[in-house]
Amino acid sequence: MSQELIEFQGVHKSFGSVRALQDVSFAIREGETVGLLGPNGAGKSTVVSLLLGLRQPDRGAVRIRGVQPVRAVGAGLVGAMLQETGLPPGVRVRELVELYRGLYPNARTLQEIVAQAGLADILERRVERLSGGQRRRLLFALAIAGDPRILFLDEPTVAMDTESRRMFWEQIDALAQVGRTILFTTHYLEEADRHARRILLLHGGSLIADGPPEALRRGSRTVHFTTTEDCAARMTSLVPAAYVDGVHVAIASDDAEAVVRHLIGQGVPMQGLEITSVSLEAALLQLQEGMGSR
Amino acid sequence: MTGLLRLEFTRMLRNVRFMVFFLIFPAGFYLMFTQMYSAQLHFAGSTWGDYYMVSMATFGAIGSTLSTLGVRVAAERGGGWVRLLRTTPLAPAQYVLAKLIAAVVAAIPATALLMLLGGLVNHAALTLGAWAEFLGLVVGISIPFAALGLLLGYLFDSESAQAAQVVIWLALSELGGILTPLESLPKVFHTIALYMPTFRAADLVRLSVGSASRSPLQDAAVLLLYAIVLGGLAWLRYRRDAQREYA
Repeated sequence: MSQELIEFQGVHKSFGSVRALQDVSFAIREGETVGLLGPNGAGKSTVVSLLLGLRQPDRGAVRIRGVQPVRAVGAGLVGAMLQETGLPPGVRVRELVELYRGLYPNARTLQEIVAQAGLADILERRVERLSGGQRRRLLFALAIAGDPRILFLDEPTVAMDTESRRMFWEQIDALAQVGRTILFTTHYLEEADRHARRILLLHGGSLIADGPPEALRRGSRTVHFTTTEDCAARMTSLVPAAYVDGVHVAIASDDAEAVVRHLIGQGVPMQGLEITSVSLEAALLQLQEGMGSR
Repeated sequence: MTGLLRLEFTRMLRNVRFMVFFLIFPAGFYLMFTQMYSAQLHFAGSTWGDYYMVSMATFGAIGSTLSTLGVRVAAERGGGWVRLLRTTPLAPAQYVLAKLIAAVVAAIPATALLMLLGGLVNHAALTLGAWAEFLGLVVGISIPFAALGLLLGYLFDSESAQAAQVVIWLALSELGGILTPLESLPKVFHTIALYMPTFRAADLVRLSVGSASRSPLQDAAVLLLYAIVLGGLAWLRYRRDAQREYA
């Protein structure tokens, strides 16, 4: 068997005439924390439901530890947070957590779950009386109750307030530290930037980028400086991509360090040298625009 | 699955409104009509009291069973609870089985109340064995109705399931002669009743009060057929659901 924990191979999925996913392939190793990003309708939730075995691919294969997702889920390997989840009314938070503990072979203790998901103050509350943020906390508690090796979290922090969100990511980071494999989707790019070690970017059902956040950002750094009029005049012959405005120069590059080294080698005086990196958001936007114009 | 079953029972006990609804109607009708006409009156091979006790116990049991399943399964499907459970090691069949067991057990309170009223108010003279048989038979006849409830849960959404279930409950009860005794209805209703699971159910339960049932084996066969057909249809809908709904 392969050493990849999760495999997505050439997956196609359509809903009626809508192509949700087209030839999507990726593999995730044990212990990775992966952020799945993309605009609405990019296919993020479809990927999650295929990973959970809630849907079957039209073409291609999805495997977890070499078996069908349904079997991995059945073996208690997987915990999940879904986007829209109605909980059965009339049930207390504690009872629901206990139900989940009973479903998994190696469940955490109630105390552990309560501490990690921050349920202490709502443990005896009925689920229909929870606020949006409290519901998300409960759903997170259910996802981790069985101490699964893999967590699939679809928009986990939607409806959470700042404090819940901070606590949630603390827990996720801790789970990543102890080797749990985590895949989450999010609209908050700074969350992905900070907590994912790898980002998968979906656009219109295709995977258009795959790599660590730093790598996705790299192509979009800019070198700024001020130089002499003389150098400014011959700047485009030195670096064709340079944008010159009087004595101010801006050069966008994949490898800003190399640009600077090159200019120093050419003896170009640079005052007020600055290298700015655009946010991940801008970088991803560029990638998506690149896709759109293709 | 025991965990899920425990949760189902907890929810059932907490849902007082639901319980009261299916207890008050049968009990109220029973008291009213056994006071209006003497319970000791000889009627259809037993006393009117015993006869109507069976009718109303069956009526209440069927209502409880149907609604425990229909409305809830529809709501849990629509709301995404079923979908969330599918991301756990719980097998889908276990969810359905837990629901069915809970629904059959839901038939007990209405029956027990009717037994209590029958014994205390109208002095129904049954042996201990007969009471036990009564309760056992009501639980048994609930099975095809549990299958029907499940089917309704898969056919309707949470809002329409409520209405559908009440309409079907009342219609089947009336056509099966458990709301109004067949004996006081035109001949054509007798023929229709033979095909009604409600009529067969009450006819079977009447064994326990010593009334000469028309044909207990035939009753049981008809009920079994209903259970298989309705259960099969529910299974088909469930399969379709599993393929389509879980986006």
